[in-house]
Amino acid sequence: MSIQVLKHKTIAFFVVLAITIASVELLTRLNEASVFSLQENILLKLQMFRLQDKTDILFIGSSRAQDGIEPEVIQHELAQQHSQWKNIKVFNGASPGASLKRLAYVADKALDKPGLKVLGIELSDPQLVNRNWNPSFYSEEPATNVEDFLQKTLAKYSYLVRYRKSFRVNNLLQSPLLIFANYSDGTEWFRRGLITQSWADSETPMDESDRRHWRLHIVKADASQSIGVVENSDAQEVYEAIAEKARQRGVRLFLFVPPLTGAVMQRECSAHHLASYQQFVNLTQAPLIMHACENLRAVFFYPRNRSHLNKIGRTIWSRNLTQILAQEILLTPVEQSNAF
Amino acid sequence: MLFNSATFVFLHLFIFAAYWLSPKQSWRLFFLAIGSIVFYGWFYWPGLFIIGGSILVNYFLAIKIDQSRSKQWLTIAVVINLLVLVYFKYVEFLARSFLQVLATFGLSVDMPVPPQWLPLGISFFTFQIVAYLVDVYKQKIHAEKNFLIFSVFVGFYGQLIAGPIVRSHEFMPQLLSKREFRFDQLQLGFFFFITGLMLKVTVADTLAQFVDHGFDHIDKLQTHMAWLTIYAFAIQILCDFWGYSTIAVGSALMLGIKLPINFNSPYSSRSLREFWRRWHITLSTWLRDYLYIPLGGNRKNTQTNLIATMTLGGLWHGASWNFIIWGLLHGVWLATERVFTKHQDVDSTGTFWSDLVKKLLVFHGVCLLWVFFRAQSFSDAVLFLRQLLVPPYEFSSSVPATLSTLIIIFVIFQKRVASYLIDDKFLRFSLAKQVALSLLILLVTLSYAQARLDFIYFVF
Repeated sequence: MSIQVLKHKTIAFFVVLAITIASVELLTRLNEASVFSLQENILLKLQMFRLQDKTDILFIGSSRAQDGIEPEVIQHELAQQHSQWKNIKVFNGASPGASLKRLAYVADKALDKPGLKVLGIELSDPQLVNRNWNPSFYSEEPATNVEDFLQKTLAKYSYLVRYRKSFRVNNLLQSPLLIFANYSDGTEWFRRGLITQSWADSETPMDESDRRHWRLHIVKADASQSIGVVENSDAQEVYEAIAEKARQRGVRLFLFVPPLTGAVMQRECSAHHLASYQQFVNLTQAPLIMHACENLRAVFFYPRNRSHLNKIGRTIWSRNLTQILAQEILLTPVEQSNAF
Repeated sequence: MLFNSATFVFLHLFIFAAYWLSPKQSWRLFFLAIGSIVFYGWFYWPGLFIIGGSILVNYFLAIKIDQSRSKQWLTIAVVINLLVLVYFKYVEFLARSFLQVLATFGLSVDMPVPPQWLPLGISFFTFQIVAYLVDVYKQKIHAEKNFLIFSVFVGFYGQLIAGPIVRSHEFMPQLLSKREFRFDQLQLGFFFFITGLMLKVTVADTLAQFVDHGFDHIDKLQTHMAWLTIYAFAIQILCDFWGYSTIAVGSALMLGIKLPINFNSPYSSRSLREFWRRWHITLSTWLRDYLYIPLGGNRKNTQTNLIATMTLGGLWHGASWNFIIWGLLHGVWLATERVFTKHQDVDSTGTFWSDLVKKLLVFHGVCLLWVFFRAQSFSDAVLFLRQLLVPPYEFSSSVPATLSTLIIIFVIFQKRVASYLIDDKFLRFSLAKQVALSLLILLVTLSYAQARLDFIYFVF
């Protein structure tokens, strides 16, 4: 090959490569939120929610809520109850690794999306106590050495560098979730394949005692019940801010505690916890839906721990939750709320 | 400074521009020398005195050897270099071993053990200098009178701290005259550079996390995880060193300088002899030419020579009994293999299945010996081997998806990647394939950047 041909081939290679990289950079800039969300489960769920044409009811919470809420069951139950509720779209935006900071971030962003009518926020220990917050890869801290400075400078001007972790194989594999976000209700695809309404009906080994234990109850704002639990002031601020923003946006807010059993239930149903729950309800003026703090059988939970509902428990809880949701929230008129 | 850092990329870009814009060769050498000083001193600047002193002393010693043709001067020069290496790398090990021996006899000596500080790449540049001195003595090459050329030969930042170990007769002539800029070398060098980065950053660094965890919790490893851990280490150490060497070859090629390749699919070997012809090729040939052959080579006491060479090769890797045992076992294996395959051609192929069986046996044998290389102590190595080989076998824990995926991807693609890095195959691809491949490599590398920064072979 002549030197001239080699020269042209090399120049063509670098030019085309530069154009291709610039194109990927441009695509990353145009889809910044989506690319960023590939790095984090919780951000991915949020972005899936944002990309949906329409969502009426959104749930936010920890892995307990992720395992405990079955949007298809809720939609089915609502459609059965009211002809106007046939096209209600429910989205499970809960994700493992929840924390107070994440809740504040996700709820704030979710409330920015127009059209949301009801927001359910989990109120439980993982949400309140866990201090995780991930996006540390692009911190605002000053550079401490030349390498640090170069990396930060590159990340400042190149979105490809800034969001580089999104291009890892395991993260890229999640991109179909964003492409087909409109067809998702936030439930993991394999769970969707495994659970059906008829299966849950026929297999649920419910007896009279189970039915009694599965009772839910609702905690409403009551100033006379203000006991004054002063800890968790950060959490109170976050929940209060969410409630305020929800009011401004016309979104009806409610809190929920997914069912628990055994020692976890004993702890989170303690008098202290119940007093704390009441305080959150009073602060937010949002009702709290929780189960009656009675020991449920282990058959409704994943065996690893007793705080995550399995497919049977999830179906029952989702169905029961829908009953209260319909009666106490959807059918209760509220001024300046987004109508169904 | 590390090859997988933004600082190095900027330094290399600066040197690249300054080098090719310089109208005179002396200016180019000057920029290479400046680049090497910045590169080496960036990590720990006092190290510059060691390598600087070594360059200065050996420059004059080589001239003296060339003028006198005296074996005494060669001996003095080699001893000085080895003493420096021994002082920095082995004194602490020797002192501790001596105290342990005394302790077994119930004796103790109040002897201060010198603190160990290992100048980066001292084993590499010492071997390179010793080979140069021997070559000068044997009149294969004349002592270099141009101090700048000699400095760049020893300290060229492309291969200074982890090889490949270059020979004077291959490298120095490339520094004598002004190189002509070639577009194909720039393109190929760039491809080698980014592929080397990918091997290091994506494969080696990611696997390192599993390997470190496995070797930190040997007693808790189940059988399948022990095997996966040692497979992962086998791949990690290959990609770590192969990646570094490939970056070195690539960055030098961008400056119009050709460095020898250091790896050629070593885990596809059908014998240990073949393995050592494919693994760390520049070290293997160095050991052959400057240790094995002077000891007698194939002419007499072949088995003893092999064992001695490999044991010293093991010791070269580090001051620890584990490295000595690792080298010794390789030597014993090579010597045994030599007895049974004395008249066989190492390159001859058999049937597909017989070759596959041989490859699997050699790979697993090499893996078992890697245990001594990686374990922190002899007792750890023995415990790890127990987890691998001795019943009861346990298989109940789950396998991390990233670990299994990377191992499978490596098995599928390593030979193809190796074929891209042997010659200029990349240049013969279509433009679309070149761009697609480069983009893929860049994205994969970028996405895994900063997982872990050090190169395993820096400590050698």
